[in-house]
This record gives sequence, structure tokens and C-alpha cells, in this order.
Amino acid sequence: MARVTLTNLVKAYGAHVAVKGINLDIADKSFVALVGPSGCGKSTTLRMIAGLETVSWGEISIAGKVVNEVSSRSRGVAMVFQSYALYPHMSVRSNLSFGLRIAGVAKTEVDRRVAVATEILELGPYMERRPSQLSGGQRQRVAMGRAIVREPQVFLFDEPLSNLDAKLRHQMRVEIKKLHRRLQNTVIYVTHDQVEAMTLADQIVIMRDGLIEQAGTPAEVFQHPANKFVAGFIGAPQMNFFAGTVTEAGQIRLRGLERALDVVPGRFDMPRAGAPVTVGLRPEHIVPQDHGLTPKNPIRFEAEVLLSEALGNETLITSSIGAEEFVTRMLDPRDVADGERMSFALDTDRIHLFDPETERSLRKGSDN
Amino acid sequence: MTVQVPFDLSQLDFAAIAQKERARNRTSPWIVVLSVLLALLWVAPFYYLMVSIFKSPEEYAGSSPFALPEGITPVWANIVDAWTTANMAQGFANSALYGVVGASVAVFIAALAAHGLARFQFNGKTFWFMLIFAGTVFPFQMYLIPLFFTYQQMGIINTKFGMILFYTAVCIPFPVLVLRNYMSQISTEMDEAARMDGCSEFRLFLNIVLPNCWSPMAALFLLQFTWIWNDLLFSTVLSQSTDVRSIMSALQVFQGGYASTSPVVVLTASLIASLPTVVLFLALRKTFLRGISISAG
Amino acid sequence: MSAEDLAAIVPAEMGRADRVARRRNARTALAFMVPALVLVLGFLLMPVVMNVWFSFTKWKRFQGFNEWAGIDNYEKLVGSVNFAAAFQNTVIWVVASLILPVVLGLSLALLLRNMRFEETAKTIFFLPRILAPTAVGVIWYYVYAPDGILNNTLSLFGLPDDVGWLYQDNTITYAIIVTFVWQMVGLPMVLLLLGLAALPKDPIEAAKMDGATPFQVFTNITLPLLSPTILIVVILSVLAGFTAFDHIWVMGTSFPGKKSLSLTVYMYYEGFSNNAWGFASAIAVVLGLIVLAITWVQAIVQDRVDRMLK
Repeated sequence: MARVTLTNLVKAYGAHVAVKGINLDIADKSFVALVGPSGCGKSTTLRMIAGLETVSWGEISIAGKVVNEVSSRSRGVAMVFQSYALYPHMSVRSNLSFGLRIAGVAKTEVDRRVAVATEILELGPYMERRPSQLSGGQRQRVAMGRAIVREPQVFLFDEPLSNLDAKLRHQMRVEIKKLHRRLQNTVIYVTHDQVEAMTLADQIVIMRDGLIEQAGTPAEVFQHPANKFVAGFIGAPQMNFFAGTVTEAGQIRLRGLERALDVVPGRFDMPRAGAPVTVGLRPEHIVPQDHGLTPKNPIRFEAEVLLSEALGNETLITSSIGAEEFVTRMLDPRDVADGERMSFALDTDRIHLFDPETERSLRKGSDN
Repeated sequence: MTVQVPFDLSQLDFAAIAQKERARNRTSPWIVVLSVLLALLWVAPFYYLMVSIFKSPEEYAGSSPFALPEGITPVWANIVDAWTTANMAQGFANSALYGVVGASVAVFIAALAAHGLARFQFNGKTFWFMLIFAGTVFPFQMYLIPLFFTYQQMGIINTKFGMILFYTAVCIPFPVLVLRNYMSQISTEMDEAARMDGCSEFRLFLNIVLPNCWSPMAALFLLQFTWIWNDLLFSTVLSQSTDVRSIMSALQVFQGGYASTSPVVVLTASLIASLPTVVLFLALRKTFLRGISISAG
Repeated sequence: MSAEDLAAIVPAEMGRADRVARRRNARTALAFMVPALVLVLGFLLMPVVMNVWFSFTKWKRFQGFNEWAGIDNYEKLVGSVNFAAAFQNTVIWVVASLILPVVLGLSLALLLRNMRFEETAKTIFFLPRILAPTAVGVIWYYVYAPDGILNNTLSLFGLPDDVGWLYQDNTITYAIIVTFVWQMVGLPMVLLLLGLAALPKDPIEAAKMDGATPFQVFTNITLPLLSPTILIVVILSVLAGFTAFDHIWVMGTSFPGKKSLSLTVYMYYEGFSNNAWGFASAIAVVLGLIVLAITWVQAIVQDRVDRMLK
């Protein structure tokens, strides 16, 4: 049972607290992604789990055992580093077998495990080469092979794909997912790229400033973000935010929009009438001229196109309601001219509401 | 999966945590003890030097070499004794002359050569560089007799001019190596712009390339100056009289007569002779050490 | 002119223009190199050639020159007892300077990195290098004196305290070597500190995760990655030890067998005490050949090390 539990985990460097007390329970065999902007503490957390950083407070337990004082090699973890961290003076074969050799594992066993890793990662042709003779993707695979060979309970990935180009990154994402299915270990994966997190993980943990903002399945964090930060972090292009006011009738009025927005009854803890509220709408839920999913309860309005970015399969259109800009996606696009006046349909069923001060989601039942 | 019980940070004692961290990272006491021991061992000869120069010959002979001096007044007598016996005034003057002129001219000439090697594209660059660098390959013993003989024939033996010539020559190859590497990293675009402006090659070197090289040149000057100042072999071989010999040769006056002159005087003389370079080093430590890392890198 | 004609001429023209430019560059560059070349050729390279020539003559200073002796001097060398002794001592010097500065320098670097007094330590251990070998020789001469601080310290520990370090055959070379290492270790230490600081940290962390003990990390990862620096240090030390002169001359001055303390002093005494210039030149040539051999070995090993890390 390779379950990992973090309890009140804190990391302080003198006066600076990088990780401010996080609690996380990671189930066996699950793929958990830690995402967040730089400096949020995700790498520090990972390194504490790995044993490369000491724990200032709190507990880390792996497979039921508290491992705070246990050395890295006895924790049953293996790590894939962002910079691959291969041994430059050793061949691929030696890189893979190094850990086992110095632990005194029998040669037959070493060879067996190396052969398994080589087969999974298709490293056969490169076994005698040095890291400097390999491409970035190949080095990445060797780094993963080194981790596989240890047959750990938990795999730790520290932004493994950031140094690769976009196409390679996509390929490797697929490889990693396949690897997880095949090996069935627990994986803790740190990245700043939310696309990677969304596509790979069973559970996403979004961190900011040393704290966990939300943890859940990709669908959960996408559809029910716990706060404005998560809402804006997950999903690209980013969710649009507007400043609104609650009307007497329980609707939301946006400045610049004639009609007030209806709110799905019973879904939100509405503030009292007259109070401000932050409204969030994803780009795909403001539909330009019916080039997109047709909303069930639309509010139509017209606005001028400020900017259009043609991506081929869709065009991103920047426009504004009143003084607030928003971005929307035009599927199956046609040519758009800057300054063109366009009609948009706003899907009121899909709005998110956030408290303007605490930024918490106002959706009933959201856990935060 | 998630348990988001808010954690109250304020209940933590950060000072205690920081202290525990420091304690964990503190280098093992054994290492500290060992390091201090080794440092003391290294400093011991300096300690010996410093306590001895403040003793009079009688005091030294009568007490343990470790003992602290009774007062500082004997040092003046020692200094005078050392200075006059070894004719240090002349030695100082000579070494200063050789060091300053030799090192600066050598570094300048080396800069010229490095400029030629680093900033022009032509065939056979490596050959010329190796030729200059070959000057560092051979042991000094191979120069002694030929130079002595040639100097004699040319009448420049035992002359200040002859000494300066030699010191300059010998201090050229190494700076060429360092400056060549350094200069090849300076972009050549300014050269091209200057040439189009009609600037002569020498002016280009003087006004554009050279000002960018003060840092390594200063470090090299210090290194070469120290080498010249510390030289014993060539000063002894290529010059015979005290008005030409360097300060280190001046110290030789005590050699063989160690028994007759009190150690305190000889030690004082050594200290005085070493003072300029030591002071330079302590004051300009960073420049020195940078010079080392440039040359090794 | 047709297109084909043009295409035929242009490459040659371009090539020619390039060559002309290169020749002009060469002339200018050489102009800059002239002072250096003149001085180096005259003072550092010509003497070597002359030395080789002298070594084949039966030349005694103050007497006639130009008596060709063929390889007589070399034969005499091989048969000379002094030479054998000097050679043996020089071998001891080479072995000592091969091992001691590196081991000591590495130990110091390992001890001192990450310590708060790293800067002070660097100064303490590097300062001796700034001193003149002459001054160092003089100071240590008294350290080794029968009533000097070394014997005094030994007596504190109850060890024999009356050894004449610089007067006995079996101790003098080692005593001078200690002085030499004392002075020289600062440079290996600084270079190794720099090398250690420049090591990539990730493979070392990966080795930790791979289960290596600190010792295993050191032997399998740190040392191999440090080997280029170690090689530089070894070569510098060996050459310094092989060509050591000042210390030996100053400290061995009262020693009856001073001629054979090393090949370097041997050459000096033969040349300037005995005035046997031809013979001394031969010794110098032998010295030069060995230095060349060491440099050559270094180039090979360096290449091998580079290849290992590439």
C-alpha cells in the first residue's frame, strides 16, 4: 500500500515560510499532480517527500510509516529531476544500474531490472552511450528508467518536461501516462503547466503561496473551482472575470450590460441585494455569433472586437463589456476584422460567482 | 482525498525551528577541530616569525622559541641590523625597479601579442602561439649557462638593464595565454566599426581593446611582479654585485653565515624582504585570487 | 559574360579575396606579436638551443670552448654517483609532489567548503605562496634548527627532540619537502575549492536518491566529476616539485651532500661552483627532457579524462 499522507507539513527557511501547513492524503496507485505558479511551494513539498529537504514541522508518512527522519534511500521513493540529473561520466547502462550496484544487489537481479526498464522505455539502442550523446527526450527517458529500476513505491516527478520542446512534451506526456497504467505505482507529479496536470492526473492539487487552494479530480477543479485563483489558474485561455452587483430581484447586474443575469436558483449563497460580487465565465461560455456551443439561457449583447488571434481551428477574440475585457473562443471560425461589431451570447447557466473580498466560490457545497 | 483543516501557523515557534535546522546542518565538531588544528599548524611558522623579530639576539638565545617577546623595542635594532647587513635599501630599490618595469612592460607586450593572436583571422595562429608558449615549457636550468655566457659576451652581465630585459622576457608567455583567452571573448564588432571609421590598428588596440582588459591585466601584473620580486636564481646568476642584485639575493648574505648572525636578525630580514608582496596580497586579495581562477579556467 | 562564365570565376575570386585578407591580417597580427616574439625567441628559446649545443662540448668556463665532446658528458652523467643520488632525490620529490599537495589540498578543500571561515582559511593557506621561497627557506631553516620550534614541540610530546633535520641524510629531503608542501598547498586547495563549487548539484542529489551513502557519492560521483581539476592540480604540483630549486638551495646550504639533493641544485653547483659548463648543460638537458615527458604525459591523460566526461 503506497499511500502517502502529509499532515500539517511546514517548511521554513529562517523567517521565510515556503510551505505553510498542508494536509494531503494520496491514495495508493493514484496519479497526483501538484500545480501552481512559481514559488508556491510545490517543488519544496516534493523534495520534502523525497527526503532532499528537511521537514520543519508536521509529518510525512509513506505506506503507513512516518518517514520524516528516514533517509531518502529507505523511503521507497524514486525521483525524476527537471534537469534529468544523469551521471555525465557513466553510460546509460551504468546510469540505470548505479543505485542497485552500490546497494550490493545481485548482478542477475540488476540485469533483470535494467532489461525491464530498457524495454519499457525503448532505450535499447542507447545503452552504451553517454548522456551528452543523447537528445533531451532520450535523457528524460533514461532519468525515468533510473527511477523505474529502483522499483519504488512512489514515483516523484519534478517538472520533468519543462526542458523539452512542445511537441516532445506532448509525446512524453503520453508516455508517462502509459507508464503509470502499466506500472500501477503511486505518482506525485509537480508541474507549473496546468495542461500537463489536467491530462495526466487522477487528482490535481493546486497550490499557491505555500498552501493548498483546492484538491480534486480534473473535472471537479475545472467545473467547481473553490476560489477565484483556482478558477483563473485552471483552463486556458483563462476564465473571464467581471465585477457585478446583486440586484433586488436576486439577479446580477454587470456594468455595460443592459439586462441583468439570471442566477440558477439554489446554486449559490447569494450576497444581499446591492452587494458586489465577482462573476466568472469561461471563454467558451461567451459564444460569438453562434460559432460555438449554443447556450440554453443566453443573454445576448453586442460588442466591438478589440483583438483577434486566429489559431486555425479556433480564433480567440478579445472584446469588452463596459470597461472590462474578456476573451472568447470562436469555433469553426471565419475571418474577423479588428473593430468589427459582433454579437455574443452569454451562457448564464455557466456563471461562477466569487466573493469579491475572500475570493471564495459562492457555490453551495464547495469545499474550501 | 483532501483534508483541508486550516493550520494555524502562529502556533509554531519559528526561532526554534530555525535553530534545529542550523543544528542539523552544523558541520561536525570533529571537522571544525581538525580544520582549526590544521590552520594553527599552518600559521605556526608565522607565529614563530612574529615573536622572534621582537626579541633581541640575547633574548632569543636565552628563551624558548615559542615564548612571547618581552617587549617590542628590540625589533628596531633588528631591523637596522638586517637592513644594513644585507644592504636592503639597494636590494629593495633594485627589486622594485625590476618588478614594476618588468611586469608592466611584459604584460603590455603580452597584451599586444594576445591582441594579434585573438582578434585576427589568419593561418598559422596556433603555430605562433605555441612558439610563445614554448617559453614556459623548459626548466630554468636550461637558461642559466647560455644566458650567463651571452650576457657576458654582450657586456650586459651584472647590469640593471640586463636584468630588466630578462625579467620582461620571462614574464611574457603566461600573460599571453591568459589574455589571448580573455580577448577572444570580447566581441569584434567594435573593431569593425572602428576600422570603418578609419582608426589605425594600433589606436584600435590602445583605445578600444586595452581598456576592456584592465581587470585581467592588473591581476597578471600582480602575479608577475610577485614572481620577479621573489626570484633568487636569476638574480644570483646574472648579477654579482649588490648594486644590481635583487632583494632575495641580498638575503643570501646571511647564507652560510647563519651561525654567526642571530636568527632574529635573519628572520627580520626575511620579513622585511617579504613585506611588499604580502601587503600587496592582503590588500588586493580579490584581484590575486581572480587572477588564479582566470588562469586555471 | 554568360552566367556559366561568372559562376566559374566567382568562387576562385572569392577564395582569392579571402586569402588576401588573411595574409594582410597575418601581417598586422604579426606586427603586434613582434615584441613578444623577439623577447621570447631571444631569451627563452635561443638559450635552450644553445644549451643543447653546449651539452655536447667539453667546456669548462674560463677555459677554451669548442672542444666537441660528443656524448661524453652524458656518459659521465650516467656513471656519476652524484647524479644517481640527485636523480633518486628528485624522484622522491616528484612522488611527494604528486601525492601530497593533491591529497592535502583536497582534504582541506573538503573540510573548508561551506564553512563560515572559508575566506579566512583561503588567506591562511594561500599566503605562504606569496612569500619568496627564499624567505620561506630561511624561516624553516630555523624551524628545523636543533633548538628550533619543531624540536621544541616534539619535546613537549615526549618525542626525541634533538634531530638535526637539515643535517642528516635520511631526513633532509623530507624536511625540505614538508616546507615545500607547506608553501605550495594553497593553490591546489583554492583550485579544488573552485572545482568543487562548480560541480553540478543535481547528479549528486540523484545519487542520494539512488541510495548512495555520502562516501559512495564521493567516490562514484564527486571524484570522477572533479577529475579535470584534480588533473590540473597534479600536473602543476609535479612540475613544481620537479623544478624546485630555491628551497633546496637555501635550506641545504650547510649540508655536505648538498650537490645531490636534487637534479636542479646539482646542475647549479656543477655549473657555477665547478664551472663545468658543458657537463652542467648536459644535466640541464636531461632536466628539460624529463619536463617535456611529463608535459606530454599530461596531455595524453588530459585527453583521456576529457573523453571520459564528454
